[in-house]
Amino acid sequence: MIWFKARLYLTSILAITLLGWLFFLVHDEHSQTNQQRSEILLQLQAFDNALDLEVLVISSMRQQNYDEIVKLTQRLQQQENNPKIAGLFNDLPPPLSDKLRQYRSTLHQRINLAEQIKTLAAEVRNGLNYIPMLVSAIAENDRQYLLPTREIVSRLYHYHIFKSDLDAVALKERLAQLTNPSASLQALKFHINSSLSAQTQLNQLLQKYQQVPNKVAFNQLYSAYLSHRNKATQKTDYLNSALIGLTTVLILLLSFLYLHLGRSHNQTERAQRRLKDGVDNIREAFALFDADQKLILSNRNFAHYYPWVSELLQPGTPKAVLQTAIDAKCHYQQDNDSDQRLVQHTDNGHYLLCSDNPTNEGGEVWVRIDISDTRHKEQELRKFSRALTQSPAAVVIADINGLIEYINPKAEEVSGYSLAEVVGKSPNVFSSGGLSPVNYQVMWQQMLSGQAWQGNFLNRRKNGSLYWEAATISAVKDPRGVITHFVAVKEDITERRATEEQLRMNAAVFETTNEGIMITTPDSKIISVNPAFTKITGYTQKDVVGNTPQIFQSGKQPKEFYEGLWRSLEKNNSWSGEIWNKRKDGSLYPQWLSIAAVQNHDGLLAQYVAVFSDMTQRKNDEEQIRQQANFDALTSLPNRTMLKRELTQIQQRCDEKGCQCALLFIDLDRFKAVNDTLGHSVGDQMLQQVSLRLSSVIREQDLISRFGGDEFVIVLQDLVDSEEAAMTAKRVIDILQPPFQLAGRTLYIGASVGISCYPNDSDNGEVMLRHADMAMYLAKDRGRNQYQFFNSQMREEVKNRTEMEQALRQAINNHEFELYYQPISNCQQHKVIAAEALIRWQHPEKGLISPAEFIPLAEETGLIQPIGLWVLRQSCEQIIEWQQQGINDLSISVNVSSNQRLLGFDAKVAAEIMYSVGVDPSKIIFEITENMFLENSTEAITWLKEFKALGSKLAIDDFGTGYSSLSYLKQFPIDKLKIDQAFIRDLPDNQEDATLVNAIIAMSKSLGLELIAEGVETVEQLHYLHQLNCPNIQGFLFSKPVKAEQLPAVIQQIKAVFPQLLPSDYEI
Amino acid sequence: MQALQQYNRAIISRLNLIGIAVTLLLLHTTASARDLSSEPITPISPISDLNQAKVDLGKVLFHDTRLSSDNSISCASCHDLKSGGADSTPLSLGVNGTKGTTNTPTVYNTQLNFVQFWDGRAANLHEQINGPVQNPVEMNTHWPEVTTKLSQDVLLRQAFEAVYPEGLKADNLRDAIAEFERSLITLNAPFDRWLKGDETALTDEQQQGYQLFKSYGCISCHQGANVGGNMYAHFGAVNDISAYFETRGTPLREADLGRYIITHDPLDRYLFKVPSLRMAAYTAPYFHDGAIPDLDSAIKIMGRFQLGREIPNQHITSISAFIRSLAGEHPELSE
Repeated sequence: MIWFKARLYLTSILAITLLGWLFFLVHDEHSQTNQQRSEILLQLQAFDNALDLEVLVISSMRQQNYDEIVKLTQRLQQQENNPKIAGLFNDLPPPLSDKLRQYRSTLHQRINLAEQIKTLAAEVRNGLNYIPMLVSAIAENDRQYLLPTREIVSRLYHYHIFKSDLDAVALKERLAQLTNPSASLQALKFHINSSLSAQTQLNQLLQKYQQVPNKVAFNQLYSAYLSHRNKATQKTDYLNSALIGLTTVLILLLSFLYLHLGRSHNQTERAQRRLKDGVDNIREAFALFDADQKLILSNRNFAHYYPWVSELLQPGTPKAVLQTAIDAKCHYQQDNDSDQRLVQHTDNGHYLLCSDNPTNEGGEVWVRIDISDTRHKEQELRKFSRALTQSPAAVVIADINGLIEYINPKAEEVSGYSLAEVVGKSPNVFSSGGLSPVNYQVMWQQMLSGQAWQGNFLNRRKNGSLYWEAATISAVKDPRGVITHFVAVKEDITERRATEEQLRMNAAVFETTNEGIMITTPDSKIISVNPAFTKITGYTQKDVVGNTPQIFQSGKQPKEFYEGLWRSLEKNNSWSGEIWNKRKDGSLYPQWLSIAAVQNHDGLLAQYVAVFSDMTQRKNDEEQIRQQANFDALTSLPNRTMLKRELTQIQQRCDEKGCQCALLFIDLDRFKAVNDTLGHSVGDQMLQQVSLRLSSVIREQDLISRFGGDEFVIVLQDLVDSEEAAMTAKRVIDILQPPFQLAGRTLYIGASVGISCYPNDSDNGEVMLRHADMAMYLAKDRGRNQYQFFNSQMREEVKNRTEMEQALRQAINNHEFELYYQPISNCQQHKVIAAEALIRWQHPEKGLISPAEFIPLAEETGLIQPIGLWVLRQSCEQIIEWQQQGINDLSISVNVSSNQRLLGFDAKVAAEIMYSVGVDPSKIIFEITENMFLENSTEAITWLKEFKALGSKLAIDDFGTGYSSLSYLKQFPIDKLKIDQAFIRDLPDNQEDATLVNAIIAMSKSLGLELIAEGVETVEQLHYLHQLNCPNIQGFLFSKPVKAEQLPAVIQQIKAVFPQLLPSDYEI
Repeated sequence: MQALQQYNRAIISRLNLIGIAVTLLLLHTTASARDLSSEPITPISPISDLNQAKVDLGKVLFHDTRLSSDNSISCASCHDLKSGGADSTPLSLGVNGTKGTTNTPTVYNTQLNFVQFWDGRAANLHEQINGPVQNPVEMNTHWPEVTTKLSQDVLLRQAFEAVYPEGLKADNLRDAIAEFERSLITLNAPFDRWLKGDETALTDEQQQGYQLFKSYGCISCHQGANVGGNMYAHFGAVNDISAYFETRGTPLREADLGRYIITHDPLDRYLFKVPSLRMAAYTAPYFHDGAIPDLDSAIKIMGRFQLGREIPNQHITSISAFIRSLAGEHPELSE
């Protein structure tokens, strides 16, 4: 069969190849090429004819121009040069291409002749053109020759018309007879001769042209070409015959094949029918796919098993399509048996075991077995088995002999034994050894009689721990009623017992805690409250159960508060906060309440538990703290802190309402005297009375505050104009005028009031205070019991200050400061021993600014700190510079203000500077002012001692102006005193000053302090001080403060001047 | 025609205003009725099948001195496009100052010529271009050298590759130049416009010149669209040309022999391609040797040797005026 098929195919292929080849041959016989060739040959012939026509027209002088013939020849030229056309004739047989060449050569000959004809025709034409003019000339000049001329000319034209050479000869002869020398006649003769010879040449050329054998050549070419073509056509005919024969053979072959196939087809169909019949009648579903994975055959049961794909069960359906359709309504399971076959679980509830096997052909055969029944039973068993394995109860199965056959996972978990460990053993393995309160006899009796037994065991785990189990044991009987097994279902009740314990404990806490506890249902019905609840609220359990907590509401919290509470409970399951509630007796009290939403095991709301404590006490404490923080303890008026806070709010209110407010800064006059003379307690009482009086003159919306000491501040709100403020200020002054009765005395004080307004004077509370303060000082300056508005002049001052502050900051950066040094001379050594460093500010615009102007500002703004540091460093560097100049025994005094101390300046900082520059600290004298001692703090003393510890000296500046007494100084580690120049100025004439200075000198000596007199300007003063044994002198007498570079010269000068000022014979 | 005009003029003076209007109408109809379709000279038609990319390339090459051995001379050196397409010297100078053998003809309208060169040795423009390039007294180089030189010019090479599939090759160089030269045709000459019916395009003198040009017989050779350039003619068709060469002042040269140099046919002695008169007014000096500096003299010599007639000066002026009307317009001319 295979051999037969192979032969069949081979023959067919051969026949088709042959057919194709023949077609190719037939087709390849360039019918198209031949057509093109014919066309070209015909074109050549047409050209030939056209050339003839042109030459004819030209030679008959009828052509106006030669462009036509030029175009004609150019076309031929193009045709010849065209490589495509040339290619058409390349592969012709040699005789034929020879013929073509010959014909082309005749064409070229004719073209060349035509060119000559063109040239000659022009000449002839011109000759003929000129003759009539010449004749006219003869008629004019040589009339006697007119007759022969006419004759000659008419012969000439005759010749030109008929072109007979005989005529030409005759004409030449006739011309020769004309021998007259007349110029016109000669010209005529010349031109006619020319014309004749040109025409003759033209005639000859035309003859030559006609003789070119172009027609013959063409005919030969064309007939040769035709025979060539005929040959080709003949060959094509043969091929066509062969083609027809071959086609017939092929048709016969095909008919045979068709018949053969028909027979085979019938056989196949019968076989298929049988097969189909067979498979239709088996129990399993069956489907067969070919190698292309297309369905060939499926049986009836297949459609029965998969009714939803019955439409697809046509031969030719791709396997993938069928598979997808089936999969749409079933899902797969792995079969449990070892074959690992797939089981389909169809949506209509059938289980089909799939067996897909490849066929030898490369296709596939599907067999499906319905295993639904077995499956369902298995399922059933599996369910029970699962129930057993997942059961929260421990299950033990034992045989009739009481030996364990099975324990479930729970039993394993509870006992700690694995199934393998206990199989075949007696349940005694679980026994705790007689601890269980069980009567085993009764138990067995009951079980063997077929009844279930229930009881509690105390058992022992594998790890030795004990546990409680509640067990139900029953017997399993076979269909005959014979007991085969015992099944024990047991529950571990250890935990339950523990939980009960826990509950008991919780209950105790509930009963005994100090915090009130209330439990409600999810809909807020009170279930339970504890004794603490009753204690706090007064309500007993009986009073409240079944009520909602609304009965406690105080009404102090708005609706929104409770809404927020519930929101939080819903969102966070808890809420805590402060709430005011009502006791049973109707009193309100604050409580700190925490509510928690308790959920049950399913996550559903079970209860609310509210725990609270009574906050009454805590509230009271808080209120007290607030009071202390914001109110003055003495007068109960708002203090400075609260004032500042309130001011901000008042200011905001003003901004919103667009109204103004005023601040009255009240300073009591003469209060200090009261305090000093009558003691603080009287002072305090007075302040309390003052606050009462002040409170009486203000409106409710106004604010009064004790600002500090004897200063009070009143803030007036919602003012129409500043006049109102003035009136209040007046009332304030007036109310304080009447005397105070205190400590059995009648005391008079007064008040000065400064007023600043918002928003006119200031833009914030702080500034308002400052401005009112300034105004108050001015009021005080103007005398007591006055009030003063902050005004533009003050504003100017403020502005100046602000500008100066700005400039001061820049001054530090711009190095605008300079140190001047004023020498301090010693009268005993007759030389300068030290110099005080004095700062000068060279302002770029305002020039030199006095320290009196800027130092207070620097103190206020804190800029004193950087300035002070700069002064110290600069002084140190100057010492080094002077040392390099040979001045070694000079100390420098540097001023230090108490503010510097507050800003962090201390010995450590100073030491860092001195050491970094390389100056011995003993060369530096720190001058401090008396006010530092006013504080009299141990910190100040420590601070000073640290400077001493460095080796530096300490001096008190401007001594005598402050309040400190000399005895006071003992506590301080001071080295020197500088007597203020105020006491020196009027020496020695002013007796009072003289006495004071005397006392100071005497006292300082006893304290071992070194003295320096400042501001010494006259010789008298010097002598006087010298006399009193004040050794050190500073002042203009010796030198004003000078620049650093000038000081060495000044020192020399002073040294020189000493002998004159203090002559040696001058004795104390 | 003249007679008609005279008649018109004569009667205009005798007729009243209505008469004038009627006559003008008459004149108009007679004027538009004149038939110029069979005149021996035809207008130059625009060329429709130009490949502009090639023209542009050709233009570049036309001005490219690399086409000469020492990079000194381009086509445009002798064929100055601004002044009539030729230069004003009798014989142009090639590389190293060598003199050419014949007067440079105009490059305008050359594609209308039936052959190229005075002696017709090139059948078309492609062939013609070889001449100057390889002529030792002109550009003195050869194509391999030129293509080597030009191939180093990347931009030019790319430009050629964009237009020609085979890129920069001698054939394509010639083709581009030829295409450019094909574009050099002069249109709208006053005479052409006159032929197309614009009677104001020619002055009376020019019209008279045309009549004389025809009646003297100049038209026999200078006809067609290019007014010449479509036939050969013997220099000295009627009178012996030796007289011309004798009076020329320079000895007879090989180039004087004309087409004989190519064919060696005794009949072709002094046979030259009849030159086009289209740009004649702008391409002095004249004749193959460039020996005649002005147009009037050239016309006189032509009359004497080609027609065997002495043309009076008055007629020469008219003919000369007519010849000037033959020159048309071209963008390169006005650039």
